[in-house]
Amino acid sequence: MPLMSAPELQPEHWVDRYADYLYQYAVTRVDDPELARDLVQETFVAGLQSAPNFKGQAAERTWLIAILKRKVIDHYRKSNTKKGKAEVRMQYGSQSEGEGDWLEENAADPDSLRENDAIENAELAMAIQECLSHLPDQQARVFSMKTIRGMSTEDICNELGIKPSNLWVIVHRARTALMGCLNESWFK
Amino acid sequence: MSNFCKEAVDISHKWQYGEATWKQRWQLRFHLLICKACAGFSRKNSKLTHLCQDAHLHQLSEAEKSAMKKRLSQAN
Repeated sequence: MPLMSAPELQPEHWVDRYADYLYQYAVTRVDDPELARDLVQETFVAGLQSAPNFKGQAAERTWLIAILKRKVIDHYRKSNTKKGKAEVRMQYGSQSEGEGDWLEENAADPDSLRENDAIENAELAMAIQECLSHLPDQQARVFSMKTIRGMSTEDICNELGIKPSNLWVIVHRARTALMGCLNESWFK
Repeated sequence: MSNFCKEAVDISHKWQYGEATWKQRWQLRFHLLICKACAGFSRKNSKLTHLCQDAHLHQLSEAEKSAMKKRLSQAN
């Protein structure tokens, strides 16, 4: 049986294919858009430098996510070694209305299921980004401009040189495809 | 399926982005009462909007992406 050749990395397509996915991953973990962007940039550069080590056992994106994960961990490790920054900071009474609001009352309700919401939403975001990455370029671009960046129909039409009727057809295709994709990946 | 279904789908999308007119919204509301297929589609469409809102999606701008590409080509 002939040996399968290892898949090669294609750094020239990294930004177009994976930047948004990696950025979403980073931003939900560091909660700072600028820092997240820098981490993604560093990930690409580190990926390029260690490209000879890529054995082709994992998909390109999985491999890049693994590098990004290290970058995120390193970021927290660095910020924790700075003295005094590792402590837990508690906002006293930021939402309270004065006397009688004890810290205990601000503690999480052990019976509540709401604290999983943030985790679930982060996973949902990755599932949506994943589905978006399967869309044709034009559909993904129009959907993102409209839904994520909240641009007006007029601005998008001007930027892409398309008619509004055309834009809505693209939005329809993108949304229908996303519904189908999420039905498979998220609701199953 | 009625002749209005195609338009109903179009209005449903515009509604998601707050771009359906008052008249269109009422047209759609009445249509959804009599058309199960469109009612199902409309429900799923709104669900997608809510999922996208809950997910707090983030994306890099085109300018940020081209800056990244530039740095990558310099590093290469």
